[in-house]
Amino acid sequence: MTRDEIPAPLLLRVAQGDKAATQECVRRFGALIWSLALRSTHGDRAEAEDAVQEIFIEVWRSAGKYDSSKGSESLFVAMIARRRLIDRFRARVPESVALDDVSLVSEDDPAYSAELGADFRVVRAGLAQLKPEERQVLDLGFVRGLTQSEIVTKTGMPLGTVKSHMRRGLIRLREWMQASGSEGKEGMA
Amino acid sequence: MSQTPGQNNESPEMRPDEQRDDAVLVWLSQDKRRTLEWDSLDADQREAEAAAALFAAASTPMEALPADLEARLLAAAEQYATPAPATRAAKRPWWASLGLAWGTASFASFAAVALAVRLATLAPPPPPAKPAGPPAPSQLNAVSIPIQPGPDSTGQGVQGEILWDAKRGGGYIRLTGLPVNDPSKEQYQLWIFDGTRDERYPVDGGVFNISRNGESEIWIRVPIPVREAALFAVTVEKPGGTVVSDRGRIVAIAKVGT
Repeated sequence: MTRDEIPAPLLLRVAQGDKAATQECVRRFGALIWSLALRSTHGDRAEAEDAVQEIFIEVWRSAGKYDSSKGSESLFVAMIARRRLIDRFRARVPESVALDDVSLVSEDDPAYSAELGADFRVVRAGLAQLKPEERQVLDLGFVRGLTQSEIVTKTGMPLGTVKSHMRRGLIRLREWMQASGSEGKEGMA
Repeated sequence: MSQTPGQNNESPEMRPDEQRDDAVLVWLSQDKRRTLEWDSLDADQREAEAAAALFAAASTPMEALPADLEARLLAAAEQYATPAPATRAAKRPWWASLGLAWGTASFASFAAVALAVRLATLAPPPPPAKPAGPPAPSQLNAVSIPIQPGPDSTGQGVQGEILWDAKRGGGYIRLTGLPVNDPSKEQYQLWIFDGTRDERYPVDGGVFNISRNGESEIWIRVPIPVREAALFAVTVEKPGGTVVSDRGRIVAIAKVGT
């Protein structure tokens, strides 16, 4: 078996106890999990390393729960990582959040782009369509795990505005997921 | 959108789809579980989780996994996929007990501990001739470490002691007041914090059950040497114990030196 020819989803093979697949997980999803962890720890690499280890353990343990009809493997891994990081670093949210804290991401190394898949690329491109305050609300809600009331406190925005931004963000993300046809697609040839 | 910016309250004229989105967004932020229970998510919840994760990943600059961390993770992956033969009731790889998130620190000792686990999985030299089974408490050169209730209410009545023989690297846990458990639903698990190791990776002291009220006395067996026991903790976990404890239910603590 070569890295370019994977007869079954990687996570399925991990669930079956395939040692090579378990290690391949590290190579394939390592950058994604590490980058998310680094963001959550605000650059604390030691904390991020600890979190990455925890997340990989859960990815391996949960591998059997992956359903290719419901999204890419990278997305499955990102879902696990997000939850873990919110729980681990819930207390780390800065007291105040400036609008420019959630900057747009410039183009990635093509290698990462390929690994992450079409859904990530479509969303990354689409983020530029969001207003800065919308990105800020989504960052606080989706990345930091704040409740809407907590977002109100941190930003000073009215609750109605926060709700509106989050709903609009969810709708956009839903549209982008559907547009990318993310079901089952992992990477690009 | 029917919502007008500046309003503090929801508009009563929200469409059903807006109300549905609102409800799932509230759920997403208020559900504090650290792990996803995949089987219990409905379609809206799963979609919201996916959307949130997609946003998080797409808005994060990608950085390569550091080479040394990758190497450690690859070693851990290899051990995960090839568990050591269980020498206790819990059928889990020895290395997995190292992955506990008890605190925060660097990952630096992981490789060293992983090596220790490997060594521990090799057949140990036969002990000198002595009776099978653990030594009696009276045979130990042990210190007594009082057990205190942990933060979880299940342990509010717990009392007892750890009898720890540092030279032998083993001992007994004696306690009363811990409720009888149904092993098919949950078990107690003992953890030993070694002062010479990273506090994030306590040594797994094994799972045990309380099958009757009154005093229980249980021999502590450890998979790797404990050089300097600093603290003992008992948690409630799923049957068979856990790879990564979420620290949610600490029922007993015994700190050396108290």
